[in-house]
Amino acid sequence: MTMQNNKLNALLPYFAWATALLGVAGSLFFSEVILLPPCVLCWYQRIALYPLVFVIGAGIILRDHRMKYYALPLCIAGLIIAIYHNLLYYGFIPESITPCAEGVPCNAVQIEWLGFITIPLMGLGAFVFIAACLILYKQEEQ
Amino acid sequence: MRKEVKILAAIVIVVIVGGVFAANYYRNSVQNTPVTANSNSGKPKVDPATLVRPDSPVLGPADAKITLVEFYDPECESCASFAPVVKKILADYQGKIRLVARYMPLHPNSLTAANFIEAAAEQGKYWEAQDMLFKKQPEWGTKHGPAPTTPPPPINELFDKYAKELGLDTTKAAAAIKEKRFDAKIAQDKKDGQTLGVRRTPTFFVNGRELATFGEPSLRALIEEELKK
Repeated sequence: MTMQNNKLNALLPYFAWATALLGVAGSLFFSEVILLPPCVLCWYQRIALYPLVFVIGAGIILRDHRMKYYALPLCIAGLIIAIYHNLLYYGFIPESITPCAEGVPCNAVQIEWLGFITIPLMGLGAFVFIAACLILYKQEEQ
Repeated sequence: MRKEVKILAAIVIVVIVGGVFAANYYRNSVQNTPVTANSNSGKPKVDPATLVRPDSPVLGPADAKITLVEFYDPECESCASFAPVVKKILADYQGKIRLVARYMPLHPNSLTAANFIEAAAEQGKYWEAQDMLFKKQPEWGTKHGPAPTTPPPPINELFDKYAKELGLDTTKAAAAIKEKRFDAKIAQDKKDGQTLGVRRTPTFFVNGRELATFGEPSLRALIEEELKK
């Protein structure tokens, strides 16, 4: 492994952690400041996302390389929900079969930045990025 | 302290500080632009009529400097507990403020309750009826948590009792509630609320400016700001 690769490898957990942290901050901003009520699927994704900050954070501080095995199951669970949410949101699956007919429908468009950045897309992006960082992260030779 | 702890702590602090700034910025921008302000095209973003309809109940002088519009739900607990604050504010700024009440029914019994208030309004007792429903809300409102052991009396009986206490013509009021006479007006209020982006109750507009942070101090501050104009 070259020096540069080593450096990048060491940064991967930080990228994953920072993305999770931004996800927490961003989702709280949407619900508490912009006052958009989170739909059911958003809640399930939050359940998977929020602990990642603590799990990955603890792994970084303890220099525990097994951290990826603790964090990945959470991340994959969130990723699956995010994929489902996006399929629903963009109309690949009809809304009628979803559990969120009441309250806020999961396919209600609430935010659309630059014409394509939506809340479900941000969620999906976060989980994909965190999963990629964790999977690519290699244990360093001691 | 480990290097890692320092790095993580620094990033957490940056995110928290950034979040607080962003929250303040967002709330200010919401509050500083009246919903009826002109957009780039020169036309108002929202028709001013959506804020106050000719048939909306008003308390206070028509030429008051402050128009406080409240979207409320008679069955909403926060609306009921905030009602005394609204009253106090109206008293404090007497002559300078008028309150416009709009419905935003979001609970199971809200429609019936709003019909009751409207039926009372027909007999000139809008504000008395609103006050009564707020005060008696624990009695008639939908309960959270486990079902009570003794079933509550039917809502119509309760409303009948309230009508009597208010000194209303009870047959007239009961008929109005039964035929849901005011459903259309209430639906119009709700539609206007949705147009204005009202998602929770109570939601306040001070001279068309939405109160971004719910609470007495922020509401008073916004009123003061408008009075100084």
